[in-house]
Amino acid sequence: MGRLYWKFFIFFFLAQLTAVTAVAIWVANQNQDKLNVQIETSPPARSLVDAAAATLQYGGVEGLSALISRWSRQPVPQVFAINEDNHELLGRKLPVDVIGNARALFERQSAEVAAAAKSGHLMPRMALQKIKANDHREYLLFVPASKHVSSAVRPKPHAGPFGFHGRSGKHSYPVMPLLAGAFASFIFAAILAWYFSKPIQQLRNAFASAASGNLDVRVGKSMGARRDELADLGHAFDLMATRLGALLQSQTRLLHQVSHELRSPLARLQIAVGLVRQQPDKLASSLARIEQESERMDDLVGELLALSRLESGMMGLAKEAVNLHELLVTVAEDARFEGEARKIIINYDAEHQNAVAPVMLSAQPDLLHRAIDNVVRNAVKYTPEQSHVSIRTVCDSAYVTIVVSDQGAGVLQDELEMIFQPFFRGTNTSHADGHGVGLAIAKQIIEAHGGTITADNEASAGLSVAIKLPRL
Amino acid sequence: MQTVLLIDDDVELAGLLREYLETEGFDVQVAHDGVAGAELACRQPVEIVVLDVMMPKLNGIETLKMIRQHSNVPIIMLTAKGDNTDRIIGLELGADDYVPKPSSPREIVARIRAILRRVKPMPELEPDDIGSADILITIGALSVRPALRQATWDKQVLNLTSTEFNLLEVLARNAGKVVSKQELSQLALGRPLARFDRSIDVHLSSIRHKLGLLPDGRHCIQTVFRTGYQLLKS
Repeated sequence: MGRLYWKFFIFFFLAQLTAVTAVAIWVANQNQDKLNVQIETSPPARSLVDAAAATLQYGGVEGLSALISRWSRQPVPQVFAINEDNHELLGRKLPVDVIGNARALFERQSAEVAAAAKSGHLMPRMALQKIKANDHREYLLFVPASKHVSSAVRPKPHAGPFGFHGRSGKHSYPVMPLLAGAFASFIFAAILAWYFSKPIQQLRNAFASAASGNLDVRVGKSMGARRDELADLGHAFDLMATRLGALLQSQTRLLHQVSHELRSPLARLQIAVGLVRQQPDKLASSLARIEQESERMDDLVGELLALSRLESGMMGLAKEAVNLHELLVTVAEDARFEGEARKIIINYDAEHQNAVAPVMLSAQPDLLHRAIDNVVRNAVKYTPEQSHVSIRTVCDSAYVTIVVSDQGAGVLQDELEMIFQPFFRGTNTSHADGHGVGLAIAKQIIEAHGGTITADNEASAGLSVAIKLPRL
Repeated sequence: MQTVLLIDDDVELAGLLREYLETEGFDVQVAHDGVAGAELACRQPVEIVVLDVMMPKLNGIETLKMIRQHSNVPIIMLTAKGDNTDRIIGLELGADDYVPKPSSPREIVARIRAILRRVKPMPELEPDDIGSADILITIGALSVRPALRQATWDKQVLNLTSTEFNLLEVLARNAGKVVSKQELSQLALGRPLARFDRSIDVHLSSIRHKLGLLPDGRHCIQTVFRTGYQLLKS
C-alpha cells in the first residue's frame, strides 16, 4: 500500500463521512421540524383520542388509567396523557421533543379548528385533545408515532436496529445509521483507493523493471478486463516496452552484424600482411590489397554513420525543388560507367518523361540522389553480365513512382521485406560484394522524404524496386 | 603434398589464404559454400578441412555435421573471436580444433601442421621394427593401436575423429595416471592450453560417449577435478 493508496483512502473516507453525517443531521432536523411525523394524526388515532377524552372527562383520571393500561396490552396505537408538568398519566416515558412537538401541534390544531369554525366548516375530529380532568389538571391526549413508544410499554417494537432510538437523550441523534454509514464509507473508500492505486502500483513496478533493463515486462494482462484511462496507460506502456525491446534488439543485431562485417576486411588484411611476410617480393600487390581493404572498412563505417544519422533523424532535410528527370539522368550516367565493364545496359527513357512535363519533387537533392543511386547500383550489382537495368517513372497527380528493375536472380518471396534491413543478404545471392547497408540507407532517405520503397520480383526475372515519392 | 580443403564464402579471403597456403607447400582446394565443401570433403582425398563457421545457406556447423556423417577427416573451424557457443558446438560435433577468424595466416598454418603431424600415421617402418612400433595398448575392454590409428572397445572398432584418437592414445599410454589438461593439449592438439579453453573437455566428453562403461557402471575416463583426466586401469 503506497502513499497514494492512503491519500485516496483518507480523502474518500473523509468525503463520504462528511456526506453521511450531513445527511444524518439533516434527517434528524427534518424529524424535529415535522411535527406530524412524531404524532399520529390518522383517523384510528383520532378515534382513540376521542374515546380517551370521553373517558377522562366522565370517568376521571382513574377511568382513563384503567382504559390505557388495558389498551397497552393490545396491538393498537397507544394514547398518552401528558399533564402540564410533562408527566404521563401512567408514568410512561416519552422523549422531550415528542412532548414539545405534541404541544406545538396542539396549538396549530386549535388555530386551525378556530379558523374552520369561523368559516362555518364542520369541525374535524381532533388528533390531540386537552381535557381538564377531575384532579384539576389539564391533560393533553395524543398518540405518538409508534416508534417513540418505549418497548417497555409496547411489547412489539416497530423500530428496527436502524430506528431512531433516542429514548433517554434530549435529542434523537441517529447513531446507528451514522456508524453504519461510516463503516460503509470506510469499506468503499478502501475499495476505491485500492482500485486506483493497484494499477498504478503495477505500472510503477513495470517501469522499475523496464528501467533495470527487463523490457519483457507487460502490465496489460494484469489489468484484466479493466477499461479506463489507467488500463489505457497500461496498454500504452506495453506498446512502448514492445517497441523499445524490438528497437534494442535490432540495435544489438546491427552491432553484431557490424562487427562481423568489419571482421571480414580485417581477416583479409591479416592474410595480406601474412602474405607479405611470407613472400616479400609480393609487397606491391599486397599493399594494394591492404589499401583496398582499409578503404572498404572506411566506406562501411561511413555508410553506417550515415545510416545512424538518418535513423535518428539528425540529418537536417533542407528541401528544395528537384527536377527528377535531371537527377535520374545523372544516376543513370553513373550506373552506365559502373556497368560498362560487365557490359550492362542501363535503360532510362528520358525523352518520354520530358515530353509530358518535368516532374518536380521537394527533396534534399544529395540525399535523394544517394538513395536512387544506391538502388540502381544494387540492381547493377546483381544483374548478370550483358543484361539490362531499366529505370522507369510512373506519374499520377500526387505521386511519382520510380521503378528500377534488373534481370538478376531476384529475391525469395519471404525475403522481399528484409532486403531493406542493414546487412541482410538474400539466400540466393552467390557473391557478397559491398557493405549491405545501401538499400537500408535508401529506405531511410525515401521515408524521410515522405515516400515508400518496396521490392517485388519481376514476372520474367529479376528484382524491381519501386520508389514512390510525393510530387511537388 | 598434403591437400587442404578451404570452405569459406568470402571469395577474396579464400583466394588470399589459398595463395598463402600454397606457398607454404599445401595443395589447396577451395569451396565457397557448405554444400559444395561437404561434397568435396567426402569425395576427394583431403588431409584436412579448414571450415568457416559464418556462412550463408548451409552454415559451418551444418556443413560440419554433413562431413562428419561420412568422414573423420580432421577439421579446423574458423570462428568469430569470442563466439564460444559456435566453438563448443563445433567441437562437440567433431571438429578437431578452431582458429579465431581474424587471425594471422601463420596461426592457421601452425594449427594445420600440428594436426596433420599428429594424424599422420607412423612413417613406413622397417619390417623388423613393426614388432616394437606396432604396439597394442590394452586396458580392459579398450585397445588402442597407434600404428593403425585404430581403437576398439569390446572388439568393436570405435569411430573416433583424429583428435579424439590422439587424446585417447595419450590417456591410454598413461593409463592409471592423471594427465593434466596442459599435457593433453600439448600432446594431442599440439598447442598449449589457452585460458578458458574448453576444447579438451568437449573432446573428452564425446570420447566418453563412444566408449562403453566399466563393469562397475563407471566411465573409464575419469575427470580429476582441477587437474586433468585419467583412464582407469582395471
